[in-house]
Amino acid sequence: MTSLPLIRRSFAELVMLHGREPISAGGFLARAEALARELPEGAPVLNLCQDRLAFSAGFAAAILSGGYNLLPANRLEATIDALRNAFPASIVISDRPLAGFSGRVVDPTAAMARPGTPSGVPAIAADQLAAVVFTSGSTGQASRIDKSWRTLHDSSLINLAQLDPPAGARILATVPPQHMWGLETSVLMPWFGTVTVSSARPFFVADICRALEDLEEPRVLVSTPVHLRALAESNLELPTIERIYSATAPLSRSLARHLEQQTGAQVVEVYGCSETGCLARRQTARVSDWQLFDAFELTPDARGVVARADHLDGPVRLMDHLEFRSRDSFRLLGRHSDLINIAGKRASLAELTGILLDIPGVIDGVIFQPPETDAGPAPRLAALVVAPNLAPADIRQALGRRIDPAFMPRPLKLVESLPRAETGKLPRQSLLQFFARTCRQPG
Amino acid sequence: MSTEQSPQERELAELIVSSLNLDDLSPEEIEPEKQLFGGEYGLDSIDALELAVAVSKQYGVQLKADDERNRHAFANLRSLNQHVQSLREQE
Repeated sequence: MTSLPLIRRSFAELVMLHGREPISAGGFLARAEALARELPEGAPVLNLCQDRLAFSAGFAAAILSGGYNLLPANRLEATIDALRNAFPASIVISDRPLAGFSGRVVDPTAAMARPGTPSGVPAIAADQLAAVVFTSGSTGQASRIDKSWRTLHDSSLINLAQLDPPAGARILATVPPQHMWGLETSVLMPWFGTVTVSSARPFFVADICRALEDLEEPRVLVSTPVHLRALAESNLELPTIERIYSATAPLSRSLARHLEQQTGAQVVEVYGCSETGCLARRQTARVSDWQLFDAFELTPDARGVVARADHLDGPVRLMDHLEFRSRDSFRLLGRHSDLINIAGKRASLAELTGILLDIPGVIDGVIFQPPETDAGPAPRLAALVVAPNLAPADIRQALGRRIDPAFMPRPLKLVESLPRAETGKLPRQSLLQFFARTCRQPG
Repeated sequence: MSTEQSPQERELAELIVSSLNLDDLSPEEIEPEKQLFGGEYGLDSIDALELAVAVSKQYGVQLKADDERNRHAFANLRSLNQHVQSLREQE
């Protein structure tokens, strides 16, 4: 049976900074082993820790105890409940009290405060299930992607080789650790490469700026276009940043150029999905073509493009239309129309519209992606609803119980009817024209 | 406590509506002590991020979420206005 190490760092090397406290690889392993002793053997673990160090130690602990990590698409109560029903043996780790929660919760704080001494680097069976990632945020029925330890281990080495962060980099991430982008960069990267991740999860621009100033150079920022746009617009004076990595949504060239000028950083945009992890990169300020990571092979077929790699369990069909420039470079032509990706979360427009139509009092309606403007893709979905006896606030409230906030449509306009064709279909062209007219009307 | 918006609160409500494109909500509909984010106004963390940028442009102050007190400032229109005004006084 093949096994692979949990980490590839010397015990004295720094993997994280927890506030001002440096966490060595040995110290990290000791915390993870202490926490693993609190977990039942082989249990699925639902890790709801907010702190990045606690989350990372919990992630490692689940693997060390022979279990695996459940990574929900969002933290809505309904999502968590559904997941616990689907995995009755699952155990919850949380570093803060969970309101209205009845099951057993392991608080990692105490175990992590009494770390022992790790005897050596643990070896993990390569085919051990390490994580189960759930993607769709639009309904309770999320699609499930299994990640073996081999997949996470090998993709971490591939990411390090391809993203090539500066040696000794101090990484600050604005993204949560439980989604693939945040997991690959801010949790797994320091287990394998000479980088140190800050446990901070700054939110506002001023927080990001302050957290960056607290780090030694070379600084690396892992983020998303949403945070980066706010950073660029703020006109705050930022410290020197060596590298910025952006993923989860398209980054515009003008924003990439602005950031390079503002910070001196090289801005690298990363393309991937939950099934494959990161698979291509480009320096958006300078080039349009994406450079495919060496480990991957893309094959076009009648329905689109399929990605293959030795470290993946099987072929993965990509959600996007690609145009090949050469065997290992391509342009992205856009998403297949029904599937959308906002802030790294995925949904199907058809499913979202179905949820809207399920609301009592809604007679007809549609949730859709508004057209792109000069400023780039619209940040939000839009909705047109026929519901004579409901107010927009009622509809928002009903939607809010079942869909992730990232997909909450705005504007949400009440209309008398939708411009349906005789067949009952809603052609996109007439929908967009109707939407433009509706939005020009006040109220 | 008054459920009426003060003139300063109205000004902030107008900034919220215009910067977040809340075209199905009018500024006077935002109740001063009603939960602003994660409630029925449908505002989420991405809106908070955009609002912070708009506030920094209009009032010249930077919102932070680095301690409990700063996070509490986002509870409702009234607390957010008080927070923004106290930051302006510190300038």
